[in-house]
Amino acid sequence: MDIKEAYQILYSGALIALIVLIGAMLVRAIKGPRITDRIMSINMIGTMVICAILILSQLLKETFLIDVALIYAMVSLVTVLMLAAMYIPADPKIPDLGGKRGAGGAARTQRGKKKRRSRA
Amino acid sequence: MTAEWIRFFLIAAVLIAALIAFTGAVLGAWRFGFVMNRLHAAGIGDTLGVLLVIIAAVISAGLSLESLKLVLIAAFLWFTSPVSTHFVGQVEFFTNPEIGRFLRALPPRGGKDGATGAAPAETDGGKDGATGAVLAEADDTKDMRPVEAPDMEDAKPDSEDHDVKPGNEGKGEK
Amino acid sequence: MNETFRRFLDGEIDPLEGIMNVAEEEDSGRKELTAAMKRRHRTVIGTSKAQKLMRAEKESYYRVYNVVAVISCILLIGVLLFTVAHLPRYGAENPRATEVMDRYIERGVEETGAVNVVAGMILDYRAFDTLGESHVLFTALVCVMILLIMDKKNMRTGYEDYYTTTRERFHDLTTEAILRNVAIVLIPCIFVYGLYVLLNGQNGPGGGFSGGAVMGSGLIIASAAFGFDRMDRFFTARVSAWITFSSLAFYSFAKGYVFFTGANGIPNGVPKGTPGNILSGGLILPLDIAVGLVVACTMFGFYSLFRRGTIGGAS
Repeated sequence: MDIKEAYQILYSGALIALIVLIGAMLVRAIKGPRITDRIMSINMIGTMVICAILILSQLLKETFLIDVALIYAMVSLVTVLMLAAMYIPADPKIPDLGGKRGAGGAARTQRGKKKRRSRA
Repeated sequence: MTAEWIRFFLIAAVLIAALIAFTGAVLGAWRFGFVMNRLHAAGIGDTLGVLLVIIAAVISAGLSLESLKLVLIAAFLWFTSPVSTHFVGQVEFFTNPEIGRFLRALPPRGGKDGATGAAPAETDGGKDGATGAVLAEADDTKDMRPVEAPDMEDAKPDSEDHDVKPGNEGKGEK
Repeated sequence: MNETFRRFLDGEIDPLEGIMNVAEEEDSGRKELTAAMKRRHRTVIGTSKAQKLMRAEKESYYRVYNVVAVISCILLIGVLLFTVAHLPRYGAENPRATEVMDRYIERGVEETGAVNVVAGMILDYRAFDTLGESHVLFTALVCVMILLIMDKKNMRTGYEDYYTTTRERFHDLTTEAILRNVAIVLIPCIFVYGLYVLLNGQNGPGGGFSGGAVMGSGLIIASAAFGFDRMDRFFTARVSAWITFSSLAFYSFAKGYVFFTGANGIPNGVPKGTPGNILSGGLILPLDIAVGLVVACTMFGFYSLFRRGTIGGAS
């Protein structure tokens, strides 16, 4: 087999596998019972799209696709950031997690300080 | 020619490893039942998968300005994906009314009942971070009291005072 | 067993309480409303002849307006359909459809000085089109400002509280130490890369729109991480307006000059430069910068208007 064909088969196969995974995550994003599932799925789809662009740049031997992937990597934070700003309430209340959390927390810090001091 | 084929198989191995990492991430996102666990799984794809794909691309492109850009992509994704994960976790933590079903505040660590501090069955790494942050916050607001006796002796009775969940206590003794 | 369901079985609670209203109430309310409206109508018409005349005029105006609007829409649709029906088929041997394309590809680099043929097309051959796109962005920003901006002129009494509470309804991300520390590293890189994309438009992929979008998202991340107060120190509504205005004016004048000289066969004196260098492509680079600035200001303006009602500073 020619090496060019081998490269083509390898990269195409990887792209097809990535597309299947992206489809699976898309279904997860549609089914996701809560908003966080959807945000997480979209974030992962973004990561996999970056990888697909990189593989495509090696398949087509086009360097400009790497620039595109770099932009994606830089700007992918904005979505999650804005959605978090929208969905987190303005004065978030710490939910009750069962057990007497306050006492445990206090004890934990005190103990930590004691440990640190005793080590010092 | 042989060198070319060696390079090809190297690229193939790394790419297949990357695909396995992504498959793991997607499987985790499907099989886990709760967002924090899913985030934990998605982290595999965001870090290991991207790194392996970029290693494959660097091997394929050789050392040039391209490979510098590729390394930059990995650096940026490693910078931004933990932040995204943190915010998704925060959204879940502050908006889910049933969060107490999934998360539990960890009992204090250390002492002889250190085994009790180990997470119960449902918790995992991502949750640890969330609860830890919340505990720290609660400490800052309410329970910041000066510690008077920095002795280890005082710590022992203190540790017995902590309320530990009955189930956990049993586990710890066993 | 569900607690709510059990209580429902015991007759303690009514699950439909507050969801379904009794129909009578709504009916009586509607009757009152219509009666009040009729009364108002009568008073308006019955007060004076002048008002009656005014109302009749208004009504006839609206009737004429509706008819004219429908007719002009039908005419526009007809013209567009007619034009589409007479377009050459895809791939047909039509001089209008193929010659222009061949000319762009064959002599684009030589005539525009840009290696990136697309940049040469949108900012040299078809620059008028891009000017329109920039103005569309500007118009969109103006429309959003009309709808959303909160300043002293349109702040009615009582609205102040509403808008302050709206602003506080969002979670303040500036308290996040993680985001702040990441943003310190990330934002300079985003801006440098946006400038690279912006300045490299004539040689590679990118150009005004994409570079401006990257810089705009950098501004958004900066304002989320450090707060609007710190953004207002350098990016106020005045700054944004001046940047947008001067960019669009520069674009219009530069392209007007080039179109005028080009149409009359006068050499315009803009050096083309060597294709492949940063300083090449004649006017493409400054036009790219102008478009990019407009796009960045528009993106941040949208975000800021939707988030808090002003672009920034004392407006």
